[in-house]
Parts: sequence; C-alpha cells; structure tokens
Amino acid sequence: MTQTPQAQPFYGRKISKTGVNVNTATDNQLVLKEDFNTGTTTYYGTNGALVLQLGLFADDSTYGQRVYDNNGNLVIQFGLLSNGGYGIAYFNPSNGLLISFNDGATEYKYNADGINYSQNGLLPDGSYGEVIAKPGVNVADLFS
Amino acid sequence: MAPNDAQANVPSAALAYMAFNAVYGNYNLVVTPATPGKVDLGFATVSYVSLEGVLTAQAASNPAVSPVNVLSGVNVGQQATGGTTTQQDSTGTARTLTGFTPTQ
Repeated sequence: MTQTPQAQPFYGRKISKTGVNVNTATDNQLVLKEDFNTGTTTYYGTNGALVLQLGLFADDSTYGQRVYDNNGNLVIQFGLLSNGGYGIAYFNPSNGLLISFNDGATEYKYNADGINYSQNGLLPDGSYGEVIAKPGVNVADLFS
Repeated sequence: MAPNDAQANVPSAALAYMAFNAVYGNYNLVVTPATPGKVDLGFATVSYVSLEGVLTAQAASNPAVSPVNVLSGVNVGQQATGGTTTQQDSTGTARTLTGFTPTQ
C-alpha cells in the first residue's frame, strides 16, 4: 500500500512581500523566512529568488552564509563548505561548480572540469609558494 | 409510569414525566420522575445531562468572542500562545507570521 507523505510542518517566522497574505504565501512571495526546524534564515529578492541564506544548510550539511546572484544561483559561501574546509568559496552560477576556495592559508582555483589547477600559499608539502599544474592535472597529484 | 432511559435523555419527552432540579449549570442534574404520594428513600433516579448544560459547556469551550484590541504601551512578563501569530500591515494584509503551521 502506498503511504501518502505527511506534509512537513513549519516552525519559525515569515514576512511576505507587500500585498501578499503571509498565511498563503509561497516562498518566492516572501521577503524573509526563518525556519527554526532547520536553523536556516533565507532572504528573497524582489523577483522571488534567493539572495542570502544564513545558518545551517540541509542540502549538504554545511553552515555559514550563502550569497546568490539575481537569479537565485549560489555564487559565494562562507563557513564550513562541502569539501570539509572552512573558508570562502566562489561558485560558477551557471553550473554550481566550485571556482575557487580560500581557507585562509591557501587559495585553490578550479577549472570548468572541477580540476584544482592552482594553489597559492601553504602547499601540500608544507612549503609556501604558488603552483600551477599543466592542463588536466590536479595540483595535489604533483605532491603525491 | 416511570420513564425509561431513552425518555430520560430526550428533554422534550422527559419533561412530560419529570420535574428537575432547578440548580443549573453542572453535569450532575438529577431528574426525579414525578410520582404521587410519598417517595421512599432509594427511589430510582436517572442521571441526566440537560440540553442547556451541553450548550453552555460548548459555549464555554468555544467562546464566540473576538480577541481584545491591544493598546500601545509597555508590558513586562511572558505570554504563551499556541499556533501562529500574525501581524497585519496598514491595508489589513497579514504580512508577518510567527509560530507553527501545518505545512511549509
């Protein structure tokens, strides 16, 4: 027998856009949504797209602050990232892939294929400097 | 003839046979069948919840009274409410919601 999924209750705070009844508003009709169940606060732009999120992010179990472009695509995240590091990450808004990541000691840069072609700062062998790999090669492979 | 249980629980029918306690507003009204002559101790009585009592209880549990208007001022203390609280803007549109809702 097929079980009908239970509607997920909401616990938190919502503020709707001008002229919209908050009781019936969809997320893209809100200005602000604070979800106390997930610990996430979300701000929406005038076009209904995400512009800023704070707190815990249930999609990848990271936390911090996310900044989105005008179309609601993630471009910057601060905090704990999905690669396990703490820092600042920049994403390609068109495909969501990581462009660069800075953990404070090292700056990592990635090409369109997700290959880490450059590291600057503290390197994998404990030395300091800048390494740029040949096309298709991960910097980490140079130190293994 | 004493009324049966069914009659005792139908006020219109029961009233044809009964005189009931004038005390009003509790669930334990005792209706004693009318009978000529002396009534001995132990005469059967029938527990009875009056229709008026039911309606009063419903009204008490579901008061048809709007919340009072809250005047500006400073208050100190705690307030506990269930469900959601909303605030309206100047046009009367509910704009801010705080609390629980069944869905996202």
